This record gives sequence, structure tokens and C-alpha cells, in this order.
Amino acid sequence: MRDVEALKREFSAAVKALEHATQLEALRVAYLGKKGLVRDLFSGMKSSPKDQRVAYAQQLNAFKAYIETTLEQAECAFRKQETDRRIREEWTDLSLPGTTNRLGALHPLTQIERHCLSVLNMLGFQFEDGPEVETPFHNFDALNIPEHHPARDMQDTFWLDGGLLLRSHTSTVQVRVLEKQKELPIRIVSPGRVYRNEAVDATHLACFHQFEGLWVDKGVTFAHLKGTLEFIVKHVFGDEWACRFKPKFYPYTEPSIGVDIRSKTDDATWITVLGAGMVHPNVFKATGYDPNEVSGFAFGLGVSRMVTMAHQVENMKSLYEGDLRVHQGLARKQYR
Amino acid sequence: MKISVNSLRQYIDLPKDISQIRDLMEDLGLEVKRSDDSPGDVIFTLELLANRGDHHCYAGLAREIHGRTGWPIFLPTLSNQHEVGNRGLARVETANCLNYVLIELKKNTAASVALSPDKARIIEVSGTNLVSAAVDVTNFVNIELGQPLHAFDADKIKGQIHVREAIPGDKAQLLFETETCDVPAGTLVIADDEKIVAIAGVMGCEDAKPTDDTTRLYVESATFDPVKVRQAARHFGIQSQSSQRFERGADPALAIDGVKRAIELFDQLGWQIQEPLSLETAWNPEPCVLPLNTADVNNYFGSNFSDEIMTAVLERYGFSLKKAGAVLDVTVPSHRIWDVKETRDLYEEIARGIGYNALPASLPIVAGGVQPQISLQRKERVERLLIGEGFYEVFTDGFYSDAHRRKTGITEGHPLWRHVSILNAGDRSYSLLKNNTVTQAVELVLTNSHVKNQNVKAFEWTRTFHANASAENGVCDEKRVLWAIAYGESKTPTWDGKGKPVDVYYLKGLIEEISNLLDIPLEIQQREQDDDLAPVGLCLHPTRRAEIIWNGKTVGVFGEVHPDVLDAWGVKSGRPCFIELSQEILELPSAQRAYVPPSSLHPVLRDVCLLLPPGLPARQVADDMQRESDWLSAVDIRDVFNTPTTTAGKNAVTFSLSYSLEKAQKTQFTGEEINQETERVVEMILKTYETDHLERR
Repeated sequence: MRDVEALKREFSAAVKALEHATQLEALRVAYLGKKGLVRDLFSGMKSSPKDQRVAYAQQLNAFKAYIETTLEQAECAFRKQETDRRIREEWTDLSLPGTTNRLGALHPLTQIERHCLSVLNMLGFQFEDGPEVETPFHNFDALNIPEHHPARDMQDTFWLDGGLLLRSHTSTVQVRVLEKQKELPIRIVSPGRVYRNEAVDATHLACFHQFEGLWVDKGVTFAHLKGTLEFIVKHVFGDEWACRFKPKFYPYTEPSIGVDIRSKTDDATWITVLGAGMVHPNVFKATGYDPNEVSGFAFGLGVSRMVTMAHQVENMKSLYEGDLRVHQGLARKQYR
Repeated sequence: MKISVNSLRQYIDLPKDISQIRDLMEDLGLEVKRSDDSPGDVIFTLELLANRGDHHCYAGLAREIHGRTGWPIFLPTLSNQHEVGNRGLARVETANCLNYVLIELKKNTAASVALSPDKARIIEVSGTNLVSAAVDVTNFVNIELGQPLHAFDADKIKGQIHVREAIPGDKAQLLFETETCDVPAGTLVIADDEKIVAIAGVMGCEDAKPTDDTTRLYVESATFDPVKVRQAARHFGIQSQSSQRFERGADPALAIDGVKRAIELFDQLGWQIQEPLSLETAWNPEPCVLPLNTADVNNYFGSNFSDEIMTAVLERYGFSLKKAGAVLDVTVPSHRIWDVKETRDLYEEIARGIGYNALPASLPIVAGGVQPQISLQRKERVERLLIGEGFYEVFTDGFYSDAHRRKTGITEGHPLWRHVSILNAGDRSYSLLKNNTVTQAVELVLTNSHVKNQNVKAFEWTRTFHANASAENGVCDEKRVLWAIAYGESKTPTWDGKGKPVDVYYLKGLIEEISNLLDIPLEIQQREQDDDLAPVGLCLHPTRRAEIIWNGKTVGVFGEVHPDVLDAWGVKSGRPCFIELSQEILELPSAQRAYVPPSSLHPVLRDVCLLLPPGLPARQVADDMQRESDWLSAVDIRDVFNTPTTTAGKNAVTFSLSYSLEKAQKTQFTGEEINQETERVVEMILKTYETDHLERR
């Protein structure tokens, strides 16, 4: 019979002497392997005195369990040691910028236009497009802008061969729709590029964008116009904005109105964001409609003004110059 | 227009609260753009409605406020004592002068008396300088009542005054100018027997201007044709208070009333009227009477206003009403004849008199909302792809200059040479409507290069204009296109230096993704001949460009920008790559597509590396290989490389051959069978391309 306690002390010392996890396996084989000490001890039990054999067996079983537990603990300790080392070594400088591919962005005006379009889709408005090279009839005459009107001056309009011109507003699309579509109701919006022969500065461009809408049906009233404009303001700008209506003049609407908004939370200055009005009877006459039979309204959203409001961009020209730093700056605004 | 609130109080009883006045004026369409404090007063800068000439004076503003509020107004009472006749002082020789009154005044005393301070302030606040007593009176009457007057030194007038249209060769020296200028034929002018003394309704001339020494005056009060005045004002680049008033249509009744007011003021200053007032021509238009049905008004506004309310509003605005059966006959006052011409115009008067904010509002009944059109949904899919790849949407102009055209290498004979010209912008950068998008795309690269941004990804939905006499409008076709340009790194550049520059394959990948997203099979065709190439393709690198084909039709082009174009634009480094796609792709019918589930059997793969000479497309070889064997389910291009030493100028292309049991209709392959089949396919391909010197590597 061997002195199991002495063996236990000897094993404990061997475990303590281990320096690396790879040495663990050798120790396990030496004690628990097929030719290891524990198996030898159990084999030698037959030669032990019969009256002590049970107690000796219990001692050996406890020794074996102790070895297993100790080796497992040692392995865990080595693993933890290894993990700790790896963690220390794998320190990464997360102050460096992320490497994900960065998203681009739609033009701020397009973002505003799409937002407005989604609101107007709720009321059944559909997008409609038209040519940019237009006839004076579609750009002027049909819109109740007669031959001598200031808007027809050479200074304001880009003229082309054949008496054609570059459209100076997207109302031309409304004329074309009224000419073509005789089935009511007509509910269209026509965002698009327009041209004015003006001196270019921060707020005036020779080529810029407009966003206009038209609703024509039987029995459309001024109350409907106001109701629709209130709906647009509420859903485009949000509940926190108050609106007011004021008289305006546009040749193609009668009466014409302007819509101002301002925050409900303060007494800030009113900002004009919409121009609108009931379609002028002459527009209906020019497009083959009887103004006594149908009525309707048109409106134009000040999308440039909305970009200014949303992004604090005062220089609209910068949005047309192709300097991508402007677009990147708008897509990734700095936190204040 | 600038007004003093205190001065306005002389014409209408206003409340003390300035903000109340301001809100009210804006509610009436008299927009207060600025409000400036002045000692004991407030100055409003107004933006007036373009069609309301009658608002351009204190009397008009007072009338407008009175129309809403009914507050008492105090307009000057004019004497009816003056005798009106025709002294033959002037001759009206054109129908474009509607009214012409001329009065003669003589100075009673040598003492020069100035206008009273309150009147002088009205002139000064309006932005007009005080000049001399005589001129100040004319300016005051215009600002007060809205009737432009003009004073001449009568002793400088040679012979008779003629109101006529200018003839070729006419010249004039306008006030405050040192040189004479040509007056275009047809311009409405005031002349004497020798010279032009005023551009009618716009500006006087130095030759007849009154001075402190003037003792005898002619003062003119007229109504000129608005269009004639506007044309002259535009020609001379002058926006005088008179021209602004005449352009919008003057009140015919004021031609006489204006001089009556002036006579009263001149009298106070020591000037004696020489009776009679000389009325040379008089315009007495028939009163405009419009029928008004109040029930229609309520239908129009969705309102329920009583007849009394509507009648009261119109009367306050100066309209007179008379019951005529079921309707009211409404007579338009003389100061509104230019903008109230139809019954519908009266609706606006009623609306303004009540207040737009007080009118009812109701949302029309709508059956339901709508989804955006398919083309817009498709557009958004393409945008999501491009934005995901880091592209920014930009806007470019619809035009550019001839210099732009030349820089892009578009010289005479080039298919893109013909442009639609803008007739009245030749002196600016807007002379040509753009017929391609590559020009502005390269300019954008340059713009960003200048600010050290070497990584550019931009796109735009735009249109190009193509001269075509047989187009529907007889001038040009408009083509809607999508363009994109990429330059620099294909992914966002990072500090780890793992970037890869943009190249044509990057763009090709975008086209393949667009094809997939829109369910339209797009093919890439690299042409050897330029004959059928889309014109914009000629601005691209001849051996690094290809057309994008749908169903046999060219719908776009892509490639590297031509080195000559980059040279001309001064893009010194990098290889910008460009796509132009017709927006037809948003409208094309979706192709039928079906999901093919992955095989439950592992694929059997063999790699083959061949050396392809330049000009032999790898895809063509791969397709031929696949056609050669019924066992092959796919032949993919796995790797391409070339180095002068290892491949001798050829491309070493590794093809990956996938064998399919289903396709071969077998239950198993042996390795030996696959190797033999691969060898057979390769031998056939080598034989097929023997003359191209295709080799095994």
C-alpha cells in the first residue's frame, strides 16, 4: 500500500510547478493515463491487506477525483491566463475612424420634394412631367399672361429658335395636362427644373427647381383650397407650425393667396412657403374647359425656402455647383 | 414702397398699436417687408401686389384698409372751380396717350416757398429727393394720390408740346445724364417742336427741367398706355415712381384730379394757375359693370355670407351696386378698372374685404391615397443602390457655353456638334442647351479636384436636348437620362489603405445591379467600330467603353472618360469613369424571372487557366466552353492577371467549370470522367480560337 497523502502532496507540487498549458497533458497522462500512477495503484490494491482494502480503495478514489479536479482547475487557470494575455496584446485603437463604406445622399431639394410628394400622394396627387423646351402658349398665353406682360420680357425668359423658350415655371405641365386630360378629377404635382434669364447671385439662379400642384374637378371651392393647404402645411411641416393666408397676385389664379408659417412656440417672423389660388377662368378657357362647369386650384411649394429652413443653407447657388463637400456636409451635419 | 405710418394716419384713422397695423396690412396683401423705427414714427417698406397700381400711394393704402375695416378716411377735397378747356398748348399725336392735361403756372413772387414739413417728409420717406418746390409738388401728388405729374420749364419749350411716338434718329438727354442717348422708334415721348423733353411716364429731360430760376411752368397730368411705358422703362433701365404707376394702369379720373390737387399746392407756394386747364385729350371709358350673384359667391367660397355683408365690403372698396333682378350690377370704380374686369375678380374683393383667414376651410373628400408611379419606385431603387455606393445626387444646369463644348472635344463634324442655341444669352455661359452630360460631369470632377477632393461619386437625373427639325416642336428632342461619374477610390477611402480605385468594372457592376433591381436584362456590348456607338460614347476611352443594350436597343453607354477630354479640362491624374443611361429603363417591361433553388448535390468544380490575347473577351470564351459540354451548369471567371514576364502581354484567365449531375442526367461522376470531359472542352476551345493564339497556361 502506498501513502496516498504523500502522493497527493507530490501531485500538488507537480501541478504548482507547471509553467505552461502544454505541460498539463503530460501530467494528466502520468497520473490518469493507461499506464499512469492511478491505474497502477488500483492494480496493486489486490496485494493490500484484505481488512484495509475498502478503506484504501476509498482513499484511491478520492485521490483520483482530486487529480481530476485539480487538473481541470489548472487548465481553466491556464486558459484564463492565455485569454488575459491575448486581450492585452490585442488592444485596438478605436480612436481610428470606422472603415465602413459611407452612404451618399439625394440632393437636399430632392429629399424635400419626395417628402412633399409622399404627403400629396395621401390626397391622391400623382407626379406629372413635361418638356422644358416649351411654346409661348404653354408658358404664357394659356396661363393668362398676355403678350405685353412683364414676365414675357426678353430679360426674364431664355428664347430659342422657332419662337420656343425654356419654361420659366412648371405651370406649363398643368396646361399640358388640362389640354390632354378631360377625365376628372385631375390631381397632379409637377416638380421640375425651370429657367429664368436673371443675374445669378446667392438667391437667384438661372436654372432652379419648382414644385407645383393642381386639383381640378366639379365643385372645387376656395374652402377646399384652404383645407388642402392646411393639410399640406400640417403634414409637410408638422403640427408645431401655425399658418396664415394672405392675398397674392399670380396671373393664372384668381383669387391668389400666399401661405405663411411660423413656429407655434414663439413669435418668430412669418415665412412664406406656399403660393396658391383658384385656377383663373382664362386658363380653363385656353385649355378647352368651361369655367362654369369645372373649378380647381393650383399651388406652388417654395422648396428652396424649405431647404433653407431644414438645412440653414442660405446660398442656394452652392447646391448647384457640384462641390461635393457641400453635399457631404449636409448629409453628415456636425453635432453642436 | 416706403411709407411713414404717421403720415398714413393723415389719410386714415389707424390704431396706435404698430403690430396691429402691420398684421392688418399683411392680411390685406400689403406685405410689410421691413419695419424701421424712426424718431416718433415707424417706416414700413412694403411689397405691393403686382397688379395693384392703385396701392402705390397713401390714398390707395388708406382705401384698402378702409375696405376691410371701415375706419374713417381723409382724402383731400378737390376744388371744382377750375375751368377746363383746350388752350392748344399741346397736341396728342398718338392713341397710346389716353388722357393729357397741361396746365400753365406763373410764379407770383420771387420768394421760394418750400412744401410743408409733413408733405416734405412723405416725399423723403418714399426715397425721393427734395428738388425744387415745383418738382416736389408733382412728386408729392404722385405719392399722395397716385397720379404722376411732370413739370417743364415753359420758357424752355419751343413751340408746341407734342405727345408722339419717337421716330428713328430721335435722341434725348435724360435727367441727371450728361450725354444724349438714342430713343428707340415707337417710344412714347413728349417733345416740343425741336427736341424730346420727356420719355412719357418714365423720365424727364435736362433740356426742359425747371430750376430755381423758372418763372413759368407747364405741368402735365396724363394717362399713358401701360405697355408703352413699361417697354420704355425696360429699355432705359429706369424704374421711376411714375413708370411703376403707369405700368400698372393709372386711374383715368385722376388726370384732372391730380392737377387740381397740384394747383392747390402750387397756390400755397406762390404759383398762379393760368386758366383754363388745357385738356388736350380725354379718356372716358365706359363704366365697367359686372353682374354678381351672391349665391354663387357663397358656393365658390363654401361660405354663408349674407348679401348685406358682401354689399358692405364692395361699397367700402368704392364699388357701387344696384339690384338687377336676381343679381347685383356692380360698377367698378375708376381706380380699379385695370384689375377688376370679370365677375370672378369681385369674388376676390369680397374675400379680401372679409379676410382670407376668416373664410371657411374644408378638405375635399378623397377616395384614397395613391402609391408613387412604378417609374418613380424604380427610380428610388436605383437611387438606393447609388447612395449605398456613396454617390451624391447633384443638379447641373440645362445649358453650358461654347467653351464647354470645345473643351469636351466636340468640334465640327462630331455627332454632338449641333446644339440648340439660346438666343438671348450668348454673352453668358448659357449659350447652348446641353446635348450631353459628360461635359458637366467632367467639370464636376475638376471642381472637386480644385478643392482637393480626389474621391468623387455623383449622379443626376436630368435631360439633354438634341437639335432635330423634325421633332414635335420643330427644334429639338428632349431625352431624359441618368448619368453618374466616379473618380478616385471605389469605396470610401480609409486609413488602412485597403482601397481600390474606381474602374470600368466598378461601373459595370453598378449596371448589373441596376439590371437586377429593375428586372430588365441589360447587356454590355463592347463595339470595335464607332459607327453605331451612342454619340456620347465618343467622349469615352475608345478601348475602355461599352454600350448598354436592352432587347437589341442601346439604352446607355459607360466607360473611362477619353484621355483627350481629361487633358482639355485639365484633369491631370486619375481615370474618371462615366455612365449615361436613358431613363427609358424606368419604363421598360419587367422580364419574367424565376427562382432556381440551389442543388442539394455538391457541385463538382475544375479550374482551367488559359492565356487570352487582347481583344478576345473572356466571357465569350466562357460561354463557348459552356456550350461545348452538356454536363456544365456554369463557367465562371475566377481570376484574371497579366504581367509582361509571366503572360507575355496576354491575359491569364482562370475559368471555373461547374459540373452538374442534374444537367448531365447522371447519378454520379467519377474523377476520371470529369477530368476527361474538362480536357475535351479545353481542347475544343483551343482549336476554336487557334487563330487567336489562345493558349493553355
